Amino acid sequence: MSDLDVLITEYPGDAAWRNFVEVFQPAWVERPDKEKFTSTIGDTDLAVVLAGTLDGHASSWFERPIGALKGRSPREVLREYPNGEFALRTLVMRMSK
Amino acid sequence: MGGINLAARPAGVEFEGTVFRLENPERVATTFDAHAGNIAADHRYSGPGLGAIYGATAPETALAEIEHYGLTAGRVSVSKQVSLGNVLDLTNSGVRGELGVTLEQITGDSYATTHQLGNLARSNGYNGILAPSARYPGGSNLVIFP
Repeated sequence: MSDLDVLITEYPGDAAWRNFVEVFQPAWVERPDKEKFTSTIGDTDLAVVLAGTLDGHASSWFERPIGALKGRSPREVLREYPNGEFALRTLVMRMSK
Repeated sequence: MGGINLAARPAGVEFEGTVFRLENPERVATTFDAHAGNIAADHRYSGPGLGAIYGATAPETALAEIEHYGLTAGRVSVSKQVSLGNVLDLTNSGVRGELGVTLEQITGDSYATTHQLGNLARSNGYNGILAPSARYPGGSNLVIFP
């Protein structure tokens, strides 16, 4: 099983993901720069979480190869890998301490 | 390899030492808190809804843990002195043997075994887990249950 497959098969589920996104919603609603994140990241829920956890580093993180993604960038995984959105959801839930 | 030995109750140990994290400067004040984001997250020994505080026992381990996720930009080092009793010591190979788990199982990419161990440790009254780092061989992390 590849690293990405583990992230996909161990996705905690939509309910847990929704709860996680909700934590960052209040700060997201107040942000004047939402467009900056949504235009780069595309997926709105991911944008909400990444803006809340990485703030100004979110866009560059999204484009960079990541060890946890076996050298792929989050953008590559989201756009090119089947079920990549579930891999990314699991990843961001794991990396936000 | 069989499953975890659910009947095992390895003796807890006392942890006394400094733990380290690399954190965003604006979150330093709450980095050792089980805040809402921590509880909703999915961590190695604590699945969504549980929460736990993770700190490395050495700065280089803390760095390796976040390098894996590409998170070093803008982070600052934070440390805290911790004294915690009744800690399940998974860095001890004898303890892993009692529980029927291997180092590979608890440092791999899957969280299946570690989530089970975390739940087992909580339900058996341990205050935390001293765990081998998955990202820095020989390093360790203290997991503190809230």
